[in-house]
Amino acid sequence: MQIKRRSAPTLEGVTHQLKAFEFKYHITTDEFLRQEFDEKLIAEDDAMQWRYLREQHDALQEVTIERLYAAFPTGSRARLKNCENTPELLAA
Amino acid sequence: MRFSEYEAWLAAEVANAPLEPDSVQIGPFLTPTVVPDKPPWQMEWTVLFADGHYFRVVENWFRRSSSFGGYGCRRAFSFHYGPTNTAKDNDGVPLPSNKFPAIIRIDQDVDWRGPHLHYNGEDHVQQSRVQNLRISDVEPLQFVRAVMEHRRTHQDFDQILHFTVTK
Repeated sequence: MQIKRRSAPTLEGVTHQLKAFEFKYHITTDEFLRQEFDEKLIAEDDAMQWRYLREQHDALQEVTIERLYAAFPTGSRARLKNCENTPELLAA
Repeated sequence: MRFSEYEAWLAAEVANAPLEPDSVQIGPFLTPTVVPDKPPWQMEWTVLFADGHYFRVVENWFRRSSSFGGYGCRRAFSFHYGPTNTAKDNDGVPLPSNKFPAIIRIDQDVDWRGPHLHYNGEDHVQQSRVQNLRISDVEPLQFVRAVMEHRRTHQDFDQILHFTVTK
């Protein structure tokens, strides 16, 4: 029996999966994280997967910001910290 | 635990899993990490048996703070055994359905449910009602071995895993 590896996660892929959950349950990720809904409406497997995707998403965002920090001079880091378009900037 | 340690541990455990020869395996899959060798990661493994039953084990490992050295911790898991739904997802994994309730399901999540069992037709049996089994410590291969013993001996899971559910 061999362990199989799935493909490495990407920020775009994980965001897409999170959006699919939002569409399925008509709840935004922010509402989900703030628990502003009836939790019993969410299937247990979906709730667990949603939290895992959120953890992946946060980790991927941190990596993206760390790469940006490394790519720009120290003085510009404060401006980048709250940048909403970090993936696009990094690609540019 | 680091991802590489987990992967090596899982490979050794899975190699010794006492599965039936005519069973169908989906996985075990590991979703790799964002940063090499660091959390988060996920493990999923489903085995379909010829008699219309299956088990599925899923573990989600999350990040700990850097003060803990960046190691992963098992934050959530779900170990399920029961009849197989004919409706399946793209991987061939049976979809969860109330029409096919678990014979046993051992869960831990970080939401309101906490560590709990689905057992004997009862949902969300909380840890406070379960004696002699610390739900959050149950290992996936411990569960798999219990499933195989149950299939071989037809003993109930509370006998195999030595736990009691109180009223």
